[in-house]
Amino acid sequence: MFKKYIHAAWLGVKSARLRTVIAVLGISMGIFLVISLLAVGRGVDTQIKEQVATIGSDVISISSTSSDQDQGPNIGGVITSGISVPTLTSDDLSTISREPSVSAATPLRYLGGDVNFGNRKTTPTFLASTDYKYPFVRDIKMLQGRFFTKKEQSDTTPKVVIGTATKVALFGEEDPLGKSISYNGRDLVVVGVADKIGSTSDEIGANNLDNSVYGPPSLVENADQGVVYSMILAKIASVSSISTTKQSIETNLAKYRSPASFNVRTEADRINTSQTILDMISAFIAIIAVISLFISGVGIMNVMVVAVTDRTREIGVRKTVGATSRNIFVQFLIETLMLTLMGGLLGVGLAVTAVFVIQKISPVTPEISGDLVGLGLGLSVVVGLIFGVGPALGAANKEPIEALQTDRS
Amino acid sequence: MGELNSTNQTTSVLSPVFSQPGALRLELVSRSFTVSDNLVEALKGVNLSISSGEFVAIMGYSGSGKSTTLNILGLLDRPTAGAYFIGDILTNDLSQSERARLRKDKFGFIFQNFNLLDRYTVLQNIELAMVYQRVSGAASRRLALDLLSQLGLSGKANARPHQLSGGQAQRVAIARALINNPPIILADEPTGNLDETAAHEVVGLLKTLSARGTTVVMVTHSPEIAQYASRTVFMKSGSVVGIKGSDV
Repeated sequence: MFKKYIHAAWLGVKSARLRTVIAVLGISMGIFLVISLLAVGRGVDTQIKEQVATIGSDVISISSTSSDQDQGPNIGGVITSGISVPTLTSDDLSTISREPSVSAATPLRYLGGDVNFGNRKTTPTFLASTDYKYPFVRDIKMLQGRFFTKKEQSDTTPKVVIGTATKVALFGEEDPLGKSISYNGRDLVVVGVADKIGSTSDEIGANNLDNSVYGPPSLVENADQGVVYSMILAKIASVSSISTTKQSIETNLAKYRSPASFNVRTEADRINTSQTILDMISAFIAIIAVISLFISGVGIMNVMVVAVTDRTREIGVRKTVGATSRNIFVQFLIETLMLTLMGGLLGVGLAVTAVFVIQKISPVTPEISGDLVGLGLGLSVVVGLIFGVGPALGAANKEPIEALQTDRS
Repeated sequence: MGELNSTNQTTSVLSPVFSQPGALRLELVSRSFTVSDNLVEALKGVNLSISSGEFVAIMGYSGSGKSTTLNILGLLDRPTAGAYFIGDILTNDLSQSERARLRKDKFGFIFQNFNLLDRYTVLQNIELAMVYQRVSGAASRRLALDLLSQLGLSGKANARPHQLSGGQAQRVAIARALINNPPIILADEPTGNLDETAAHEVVGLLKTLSARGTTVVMVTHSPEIAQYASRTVFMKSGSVVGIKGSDV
């Protein structure tokens, strides 16, 4: 019997080609919009989480609070304090290092400017003064050479480590180890090249996190203030204690500093911030999806109401030969589902194509997978069921004699 | 078409065998409608009994109630008063699905305007009557093709109804009515849109079916066509005003 329903529905779909095309296009646009937006949203979500995750889930960041409370740029996965005045001191570093669950703490001071090697020059995305514990805290792996040692931190000629992109920009294929580069008129000796930390491209650009230079505290030593930092990163021995450690750091620093002068954050905090934005984007996508599917559904309902009206006499003939109201209802509902499924398939196909094109031409990398394809087809079925019921009931409830007397076939 | 004119022809489809005769009985049946706040009485206390295998013609002027009678007999309409029996079954209180099942099992319908669906081929129009039977697609196709062959329409299986002559279209409609082998055929002005030759061919076929045991009830304007029936019921203003022929 089901095969006969399918056959009857297919004949109905085939016999009104223009109406079918309009209905299928309507629903396909709705599904296309929903799936492609979800794919873009999912891609953005993954990208943000990957970027945030570069700092590590077992690291707490303590930053000096900016004067205007603005959050600075995300550099190497670290949310910086923007234009904040660095106020974190070696005392703060000692306080944090004394926390029982902190296995290591390293300071950071963000610097600006260019570095040169001969006549070659680059402007690092991430030029920072730190200490020898940095590679341990940030899980930095070395591609060449090594990180500077504790002893080397006090060398007259500072030893530095550069990122892979900086190496390419300044040295090309040349071996950089032992070579001198200059920064603000000072010579710095390259002792290592850090492995990639998550750049998406080898080209030098504003977002290339591997265009980096890590130098010792002496890079920023100031005769009046000693060394001050804009951030301290603390690595936790056990991730389960991260929350209590964060509270403990806040409490101990607040004993001698104004609580407003620093900000303690975990990766969870950063993810939460990103998640809030993503949740808003998701809500926006959901609203767009509901609206577009509703419009598509109304379009389908309109098409099916016209189909039922056009085929009133057919309904009468079918009832004459023994069709029950249920038979008629199922036939028209299947016909609606057939239209919405065709629209769903077309919409998913368009979305897959759009994702492919967007991946090729833009930095956004939308993600589409089997579950989104399933969602698209599932939504098309749901739309068909919701908006097909009304017209199908209308067809089922027609009295046979009245249906036969209509002049429509 | 010549093969159909012979009442001696014996084929499986045209020779139905019934375990239960298709007897119909109307008892004081009335049917009224409200049209623009006015009550229109289409039938007024009609009594009519039709035996299994009988060929009955119903005659009368337009508005006499003959088509309404046929619609009630075919369970396409319900009486507003009185009782209608098919065999021993009182149909008044049957549900929609029970009425649909009876229509499927008991009746074949033939209409003046054929009621063929242009979006379907001739073959598909005939198969339409088997969609709701538990018969496989292949079996229903074979039956439909056999019937088309018997009706002299083998070459028209894939034609559309609008490509047929009136006589051919009515023969297709008859094929649709016969394919389920129903015990009762209800024909509403089956010759109304046909030329004289085709009209006599169609009514001759109905006569043949009646001779094989099928109950045939035919509404007609034409006394000449009504002569094929064993009994003619005359109606006027919603009432039976006379009966000609053997009264059962």
